[in-house]
Amino acid sequence: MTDDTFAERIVAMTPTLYRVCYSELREASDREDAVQEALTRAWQKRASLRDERFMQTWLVRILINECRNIQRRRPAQTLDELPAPPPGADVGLHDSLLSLPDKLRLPMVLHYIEGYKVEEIAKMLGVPQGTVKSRLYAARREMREKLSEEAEYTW
Amino acid sequence: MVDFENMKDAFGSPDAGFELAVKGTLTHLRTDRRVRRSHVPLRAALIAAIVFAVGISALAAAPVLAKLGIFDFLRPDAVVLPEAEELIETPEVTQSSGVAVYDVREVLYDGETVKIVVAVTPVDKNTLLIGQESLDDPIANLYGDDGTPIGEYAAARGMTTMSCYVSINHESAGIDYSSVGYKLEGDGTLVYILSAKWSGGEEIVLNYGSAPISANRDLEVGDFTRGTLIVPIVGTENPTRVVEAATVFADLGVRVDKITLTSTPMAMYYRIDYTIIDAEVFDAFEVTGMGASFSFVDEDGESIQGAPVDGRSGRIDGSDTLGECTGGLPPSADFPERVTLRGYEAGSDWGSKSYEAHTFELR
Repeated sequence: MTDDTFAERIVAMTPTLYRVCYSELREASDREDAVQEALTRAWQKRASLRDERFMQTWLVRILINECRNIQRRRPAQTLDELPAPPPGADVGLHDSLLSLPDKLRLPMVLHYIEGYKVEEIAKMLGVPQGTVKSRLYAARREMREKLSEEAEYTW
Repeated sequence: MVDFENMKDAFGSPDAGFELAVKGTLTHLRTDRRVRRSHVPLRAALIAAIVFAVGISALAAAPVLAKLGIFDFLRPDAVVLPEAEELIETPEVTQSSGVAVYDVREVLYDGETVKIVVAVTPVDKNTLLIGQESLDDPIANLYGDDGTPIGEYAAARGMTTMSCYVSINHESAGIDYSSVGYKLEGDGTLVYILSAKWSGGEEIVLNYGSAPISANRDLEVGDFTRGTLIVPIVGTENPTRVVEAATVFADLGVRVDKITLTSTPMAMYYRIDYTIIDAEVFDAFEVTGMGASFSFVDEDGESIQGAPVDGRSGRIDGSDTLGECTGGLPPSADFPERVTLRGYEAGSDWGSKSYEAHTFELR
């Protein structure tokens, strides 16, 4: 893969990268730092990408690591209030997703928003497929409860 | 109805800052220029310039008895004056989390930048320390020279793995921006280098933590045991040279007002204060990526490199018209008699466009 192709594919992935970051990090500046560090690492390691077909999964996995590195360096925070939804966001979905525990939210985003298969998510997160399935089940249950009073949300 | 399509709306679309971060980073990487931090979109608080020098081969090739110090982490092209060694302090700051011992090995503060080396030694010598959170990224994360994921390497040798980190508490007073890197010594000690632009004080707070990584295929990280290290810092004074100016760089839409040089054994630090006099021209650089910046050039017009310090460029926080560009030149015992500044579009190919250059007398 040429550098141009590599860069073009990354640019095309910007919405996915953004949603993964948004799922993990509350501050816009942290999301920007995470994606910059992830892209830098991916660029440095691009020669080790053995199969171009897995580039997207590979990059998302790197990004998740960077998001968690940033989380880890931050002092523990108690968030009493959810951040305001960004322009264009579905408020109900935004709030219900962000209300999920961290472990449940990311599989939900990766599966239902990004369309990754359970097997792919398991590789990204380094957990068994069964764990992903159980987290998706728990996440769906929690979101269903949060959204049950709003008629437009059905499952 | 919740389906893939409307679920995508949960977080809206990428904001301008995020898109700029993606495109600006790619522009920078493709042109292979030295990272120069811009005020947009990057926050100055924490720069994780991770040094991916973790080497399975280094561990396998034990014994490597040399203890890594600050100068072992400098860039290969970095030069420092011999006096820099005299700035190194070895404070007795050590803490144990029960599973690892965190020892502040060396501290160097030259009045501008503080560099701290912290050695993390596992209590159980059969433990392999991982500077990242987990082992779930074998492609990008921790390959050794033989291509073996470090998790497999550890498992094959019956070693347990433990995630650990050390970082500068960016809430510490005086911290401008910071970076972190690490290397693995031959005896299994993971050595961190922490670096920060620091405006001074008597101590810096470091955060640390460690957590076991499960040995099963989950490779999940357990709960972190966290703590802090208080590192005393010895201050120092440095000579400075200030040049007032009113030189217009029309290509950048700015006027350089002042150049401040500060000489230390580590670098000839510079700060360029400028005023944006043509916002339309200046903002055009922001659109294309990393913004406008300056570099000191030699007699051949080549950018002068070799200082082991980071820099950044952009508007001063809270100002629409005032900007700064900071960084470092190789150290020198004497101030230069004159310097030449060349403007450029940060992240662009250095030779692709010709921007103005002006020489300033420093007598």
